[in-house]
Amino acid sequence: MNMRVCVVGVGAIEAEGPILELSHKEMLFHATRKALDDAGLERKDIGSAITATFDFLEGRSLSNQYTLDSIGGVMKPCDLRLGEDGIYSLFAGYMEVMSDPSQIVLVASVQKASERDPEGLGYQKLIADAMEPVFSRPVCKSIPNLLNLESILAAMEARAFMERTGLREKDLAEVAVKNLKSHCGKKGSEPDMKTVLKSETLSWPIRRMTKAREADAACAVILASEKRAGSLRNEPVFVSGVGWASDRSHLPFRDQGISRETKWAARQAYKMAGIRRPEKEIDFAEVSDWYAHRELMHCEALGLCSSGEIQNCAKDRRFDKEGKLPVNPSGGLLGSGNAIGTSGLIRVAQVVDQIRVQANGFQIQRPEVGLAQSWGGIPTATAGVTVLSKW
Amino acid sequence: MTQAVAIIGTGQTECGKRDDVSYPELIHEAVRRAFEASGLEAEDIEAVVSGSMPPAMEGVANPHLYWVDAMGAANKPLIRTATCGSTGMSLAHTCFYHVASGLFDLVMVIGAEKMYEGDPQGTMATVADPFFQRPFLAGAPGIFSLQSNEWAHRYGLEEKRVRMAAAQLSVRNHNDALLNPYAHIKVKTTVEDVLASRVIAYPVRMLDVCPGSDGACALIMASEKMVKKLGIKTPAWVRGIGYCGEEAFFGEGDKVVWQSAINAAKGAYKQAGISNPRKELDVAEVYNPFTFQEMLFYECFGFCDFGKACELVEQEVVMKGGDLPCDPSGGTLCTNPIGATGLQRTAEIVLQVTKKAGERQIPGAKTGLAHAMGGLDQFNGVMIISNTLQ
Repeated sequence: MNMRVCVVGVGAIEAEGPILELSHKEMLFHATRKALDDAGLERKDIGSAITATFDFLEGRSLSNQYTLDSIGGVMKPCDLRLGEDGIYSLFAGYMEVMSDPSQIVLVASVQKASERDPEGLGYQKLIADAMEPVFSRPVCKSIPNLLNLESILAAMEARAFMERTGLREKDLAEVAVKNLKSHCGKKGSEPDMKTVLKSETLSWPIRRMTKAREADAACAVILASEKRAGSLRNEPVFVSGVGWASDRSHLPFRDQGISRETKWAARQAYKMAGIRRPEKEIDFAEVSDWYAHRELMHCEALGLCSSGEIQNCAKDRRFDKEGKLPVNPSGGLLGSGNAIGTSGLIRVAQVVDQIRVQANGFQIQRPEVGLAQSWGGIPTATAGVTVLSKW
Repeated sequence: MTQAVAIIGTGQTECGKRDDVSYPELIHEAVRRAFEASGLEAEDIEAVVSGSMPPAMEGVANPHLYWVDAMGAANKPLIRTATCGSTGMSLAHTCFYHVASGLFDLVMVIGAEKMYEGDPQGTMATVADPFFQRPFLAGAPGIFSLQSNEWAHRYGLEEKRVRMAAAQLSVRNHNDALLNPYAHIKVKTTVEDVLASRVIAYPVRMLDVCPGSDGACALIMASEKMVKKLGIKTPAWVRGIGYCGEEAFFGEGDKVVWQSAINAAKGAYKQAGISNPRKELDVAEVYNPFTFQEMLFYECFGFCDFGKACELVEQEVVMKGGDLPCDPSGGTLCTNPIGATGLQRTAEIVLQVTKKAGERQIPGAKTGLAHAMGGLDQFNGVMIISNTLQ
């Protein structure tokens, strides 16, 4: 393939707390405006628009139907990903640009967790709804009022992972401390191991601080072909590989404590990007750390360490911001919060910022090849991987 | 596009109330038939695209993940699309992009719906935004009756004439469905029956409205390279695609001179090199959940001038034996498993241009148009399919 696809603009709206002053549509509008300004483009330049959301989180059907106006997608080709992370809209956009190199495609996603009650029963019901309904969902009956369902399922896989690798709770806490440090670094309020290990146990080993809190965010990414990008303001960041995959429908058919879907997605992305030894060729990664154990599971599946070596990674601090292969230098989801369905696209934006050396406060050294990974969350087994590079 | 795309296999299920099968079993039925039609197996497929109505219909948050095993999609790239009525066409387009981009050579696309198990009107009512539109836009017929009335009023069409043309279309669709083994509603009707059937939302009557069906449809798309490699003798080539989305609010767009439908068709015609659709198309599967809407689409697609659609029906241009026969499958009017409907339109055109449509074959059909409409009356997608690449 001679033609390459580039990211020419990114825009994200993120906040520490709830974003009360902006609606869904406004959040997306501002993210889009930022991305357009970043790329030096206007609404009329957008050729096609793709959005992604989760209906059950929004409480309405076809919930991205009413955000097309916000992203400049009216009277244009569009596509709606439903029940998928925003990173999937990037994959669809990538294919559109590859099919028609003259096209500029905007992909976007928004999540407003503060409009519902992330801690409430509603979210636990959603977890049950996301399960295969005939054989897997009845399992939930054994949990009174579905209380803590998410954490129970997460704990199940975390324990399988710990059992297989010999990792201890302390190692998971270490991940949380690392990411919180990266996130809070510049503010000077560094959390320590003790605080993490003392935080409330949701379902052992899942604790309040080893699970990412939900957050509000919107993100827009603009894609164009290399040729088209040449006439734009920014140095393009190349999308050199994309991959996505899903594992089987039934929980009992899947191996717990291993992310096969990430492995498969990475295989596709690496093949496209011509990466043979990811641990050497990738400079840094932004992966889903929805739970602390997931960061390590994903790094293992992505081949960011040799097989059977994940135990050592916690010790030799290679995934630290100053380490050999920084993982989540932005602080990840544990640090900055998890905007479900948008966080994957935000990981992409973070990688782009790093490669452009614009990651204010989070910048790492020599970022040339970066990886963004997203996972569908409990109880799904679906993942997307993007490799971005400077050259 | 990086490489040309062909459709090399179709698989449809019988539609209707399918309580003999579960959701995954229904999907598997379509998938199996697509494999049988193309001589391929699950292992050959590189990526899978799937979709259905918004998840409130299924009561499962990520329905595509629930179907992974039925589609043979585990460990493959799987992506989901949902745009309500046009889901099937969005799916076909997404699948097209998979191959056209050069990323994959053999991709399967599946659309499905079990409407008897869900609450279709409930799901559709929650598509409208919760603050301004939901209180008065209840379900589908309300929206489409507004559009029908607006159309008739705009051109000063006589009520009796419009009703008569719609009734003739209804009879044509119902007669055609009798010949389609996959169709849902199979009843013999007459113009008198249609005119006398009860009003659902004026001017739409019982026999002017589509049913809600259970059904699934699968297609396999391949690159030119793969068509040659597999030695496929009768591929159907995708010659052009067009898609357009409108404002979220129903009242903001003109639904008579319907810009999204016009743009979608124009885009597809341009890619396919079609300048006079009425002459160059041999067959069309126009999305027609409501008879009145089918006439409106004739105008937007350039089959006739604006305000002249009734003439196409009166002069039998769109009937079998006419210049441009439409909906030989019986259309959406007789079969509507929403997530699969757009794919069924595509599948029918594939069967027609490859001369595999059996009793309902349009003689000499070479190039056809497949279409679907969705969202909150806001998305239109068109695909032009031909039995030759050039």
